[in-house]
Amino acid sequence: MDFELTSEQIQVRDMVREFAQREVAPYIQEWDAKGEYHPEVLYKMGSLGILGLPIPERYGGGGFDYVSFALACEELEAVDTFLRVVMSVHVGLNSLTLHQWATEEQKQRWLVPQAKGEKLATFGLTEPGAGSDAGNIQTRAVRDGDYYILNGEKMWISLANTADHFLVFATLDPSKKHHGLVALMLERGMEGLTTGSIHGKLGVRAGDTGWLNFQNVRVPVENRIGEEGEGFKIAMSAIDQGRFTVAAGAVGLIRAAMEASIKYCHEREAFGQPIGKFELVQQMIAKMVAGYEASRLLVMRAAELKNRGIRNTRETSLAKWFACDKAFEAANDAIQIHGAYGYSNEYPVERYMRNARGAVIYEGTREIHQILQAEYALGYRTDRPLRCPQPPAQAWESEAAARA
Amino acid sequence: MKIVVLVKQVPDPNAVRFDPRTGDIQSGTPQVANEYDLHAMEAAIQLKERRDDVELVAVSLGQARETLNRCLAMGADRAVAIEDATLAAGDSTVTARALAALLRAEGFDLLLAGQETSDGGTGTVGPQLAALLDVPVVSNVVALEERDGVFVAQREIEDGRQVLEVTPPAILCALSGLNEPRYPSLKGIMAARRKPTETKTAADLGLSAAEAQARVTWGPLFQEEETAEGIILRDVDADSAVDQLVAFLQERKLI
Repeated sequence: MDFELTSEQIQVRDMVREFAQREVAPYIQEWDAKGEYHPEVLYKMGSLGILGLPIPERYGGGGFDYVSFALACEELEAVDTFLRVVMSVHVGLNSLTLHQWATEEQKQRWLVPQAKGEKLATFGLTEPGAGSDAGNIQTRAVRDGDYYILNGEKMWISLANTADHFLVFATLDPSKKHHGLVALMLERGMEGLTTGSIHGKLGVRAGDTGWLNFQNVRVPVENRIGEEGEGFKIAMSAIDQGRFTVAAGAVGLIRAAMEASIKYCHEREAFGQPIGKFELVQQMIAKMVAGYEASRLLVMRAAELKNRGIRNTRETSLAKWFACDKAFEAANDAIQIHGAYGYSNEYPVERYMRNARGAVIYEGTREIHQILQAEYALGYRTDRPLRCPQPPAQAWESEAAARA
Repeated sequence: MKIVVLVKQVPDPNAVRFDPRTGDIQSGTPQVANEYDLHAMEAAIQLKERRDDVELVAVSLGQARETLNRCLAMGADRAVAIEDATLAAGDSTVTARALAALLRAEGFDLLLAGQETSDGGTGTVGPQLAALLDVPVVSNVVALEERDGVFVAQREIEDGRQVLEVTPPAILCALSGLNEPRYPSLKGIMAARRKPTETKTAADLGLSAAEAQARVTWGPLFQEEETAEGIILRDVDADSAVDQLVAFLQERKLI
């Protein structure tokens, strides 16, 4: 077991850190306060290769490992959650899912331009009436010759108004529940596909969150990812990747809350001494340190399994649940440490708290993760092999092939 | 055409702290690429992008592996690291002698460097190299272009700019106005894996003990006590206070 980062991982981390600190950190308070979304930042991420980071080089990506991917998510969310959200939907939920489930032809068509940052992609599972209960989605796909006719609506979709490609899930037969789902790739411009924004969110106000609407969208059969009825499995393996990015990002948010708190502890004096000298303040700092270190280790454990192409649903879920809970706790305590100033947007910690709150809900609510962990522990749940297992990171491909 | 860029790794100017007991920089201070050197590097990459016959070499003296990796990821073809404890303890003349020895062997058409480093800050290595290698040097470069094998550089001078034309081989020292250094892209980081970094010592460069001997030694570093005090006007009426304040600011040319 080696806890040291490689020189390459350090270079990736430093580059992403520098990018986020220079291009976004100086403006984010204003963007968040005004609810301004700046897609030019995403295009720059694309030109730097950040949007294809873990995708193999042969598909236009960087070919970096999952540790580097986690470090990038950490650095992005240390500045603002909206940056990490891009990694979650474009890379985690969409591109890595195509890498796992799509045919070679489909990868050339969609994955390659996504990995190069030429096209932006998102993922549509959640609906106005179905979140955790994903087997109960109402978006309907009806086969009509070489097409599916798609009708329905998706809600809480990140990059809804920016994405070029959409990986969406629909039911072919509602009575079959989980077994009736199908995964389809949609492209912006398809007739009957419209998108819009959702306003009034508590957090991630600098991000693009919205809805997708399908009115008799004719989706060619060659846009189907996997087989009919495989949609739920595809969605769940996508979520294994999305959750990983959320967990890694939460580590960055804890760090940001902790660093802001430590700085404030040295600056602010009360009763004649810096507030860092007070033990009840120290307790909050200590909890942030523990939350940060433990969350990071859980993320790295999941990263290591992902690198080797080993099933990691349980480990990723644990990392996501734990890190997101700790991120909210750290941000909430950071406000407490900052006192009344923390309650205003003069300091960034209120934004951290608002942003951290959402991640306790999306990509599996806290409750869903608790159920998963308990069911694994009690022996009620086991992971069955998938027709298309999660591919390893590029550097582990030959090792994984030898093992298979 | 061969372009050599000199780069140095320095303590992060935004994070540097002195240890008041030892008078030294606190250990654990993060190390970063010297800012002006990145502008020199960017200028070199831009020249390389305009022609297809450029070999771009990044050269450092002292511990600078991360900075050299960054240069390779930005677009340098190879790197040379001069790593030698004797040289690292030297003054700017020793640095210039070591670099001159390497550059005589290496050869170059254009040598780009930052105007100065944020740690030593002497700003003399470029001019010393020009003297040792008998080539022209243009300092404080804020714009650069190539016209038919001639380099046209704009040099920042007081109240304006001076335009100079130099034919290679020549040395140019960059200021931050020259360009906006690019981030090393992930593709670049991946490509850097396959690029070579060569290590040299004083012995490899054929430097004698006398040549490696510093003639300037550093004393302890310390932070100046902050002595500035505010001025508080007491017992004066508002009009008079305003007059005094305006006079004070005008005297210092602040308004």
